[in-house]
Amino acid sequence: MVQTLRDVGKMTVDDMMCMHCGACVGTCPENAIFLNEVFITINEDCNQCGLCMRVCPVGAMDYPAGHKLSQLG
Amino acid sequence: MHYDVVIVGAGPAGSITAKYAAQGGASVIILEKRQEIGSPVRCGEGIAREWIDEVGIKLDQKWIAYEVEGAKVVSPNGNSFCINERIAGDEVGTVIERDLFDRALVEDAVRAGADVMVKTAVTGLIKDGGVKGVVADSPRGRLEISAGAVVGADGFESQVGCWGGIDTRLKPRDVTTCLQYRMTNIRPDPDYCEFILGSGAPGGYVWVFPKSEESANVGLGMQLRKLKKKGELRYWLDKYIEKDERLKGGKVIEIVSGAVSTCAPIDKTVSDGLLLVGDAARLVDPITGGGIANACKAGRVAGEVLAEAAQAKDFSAETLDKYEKGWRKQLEEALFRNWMAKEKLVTLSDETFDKIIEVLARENLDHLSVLNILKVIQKQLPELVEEFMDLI
Repeated sequence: MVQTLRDVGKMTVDDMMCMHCGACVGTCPENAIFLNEVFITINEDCNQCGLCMRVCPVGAMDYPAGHKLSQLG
Repeated sequence: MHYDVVIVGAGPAGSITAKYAAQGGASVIILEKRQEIGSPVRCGEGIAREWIDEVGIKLDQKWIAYEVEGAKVVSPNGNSFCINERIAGDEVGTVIERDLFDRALVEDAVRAGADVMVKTAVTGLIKDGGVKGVVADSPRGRLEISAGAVVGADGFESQVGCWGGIDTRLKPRDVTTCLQYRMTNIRPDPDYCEFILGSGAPGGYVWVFPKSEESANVGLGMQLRKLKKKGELRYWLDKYIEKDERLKGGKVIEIVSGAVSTCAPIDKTVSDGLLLVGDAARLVDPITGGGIANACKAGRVAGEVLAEAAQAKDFSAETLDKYEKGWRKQLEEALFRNWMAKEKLVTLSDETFDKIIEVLARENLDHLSVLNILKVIQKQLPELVEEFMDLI
């Protein structure tokens, strides 16, 4: 399988699953996520609250592998 | 580059604002980050016809996919009541092709004199006291556009407000996240847009909006607070589809995802040189999750106020406040009441939904609104009145 997981600093996004819908962007309490329509970036304001992971309609966001709250794998 | 008005986002709110501002003589540009206006669709696509005229949109068969008689609200035990379009409110009657709808609206704005640029993502605001313009990435490189006023029409994922000092952040209880399949080879009710309530969609509902006699938008929205696991929404939608006989053998030909705000009206939507419209201003109806009608209604007010501001060359918060007062007069009371009702609805059990729907099915409501429904509950279900009393 093609590896499409991308570590965007404090969180991880699966670029293959991401629908670029902006649900995470509008939900982020720190306004830390930017989406230029096809590519998500997260800036240093992220406090790893995990709301982006919960709000993502398709399960594309997660904590990085190895993080105690990660649901990867 | 300079414009009186720079609009961020070419959805319905942005396009209607642009149209009325340009019509009133302002120089206007719409910036859209997508390469294609309206696509991919992020919408259930159900709208009503009754408000279309009032915002100057001409009905066009090009963007009408299917017409229904009204809405059917289904309770957890399968009972339902139907409402015909005349009394249903803003979100039923016509199922549209949203991408074509958005394109028609942007064409209207261009006809009125607005400029438009696609694949142009606004990345920040130019500030000097108030907001004085935007910085954007475009295929032609980095652009700086100065403006009398910037309009945040950037939807649920709005950042323009926060960048300009207007707090549009949401609490998890006020975020509803949605997943929808466009399905074909199914048998939806051809006469109604269906709203299915209960524990199959905790803190939200399932919808089936027909796009033809054998295809429909089948979607589910849930309150963020009720979601814990990654990707849980797909589980709930698939579970619903599995048990609905009419959808057996259906094929998914499109996946749509997104989120909507279901919050109380926010404290302010204007500041010096900045104004928010549509989902960016959190104008979505907290009960239905529908945003197009309110976006267009507020967009018209915004456009007219911006045109006046351009004439007077005054884009201060005091001048733009006329927009704030204008949309509040039209929409605020219903938004607040529906938010209160939503807060209550997300707590109800399946049995309570069954009881309420049963009563509503017996009543012939001549006008459907949250207030009218509450009055019926007060009369017919006195045991529930205490729970709802503060809403009446």
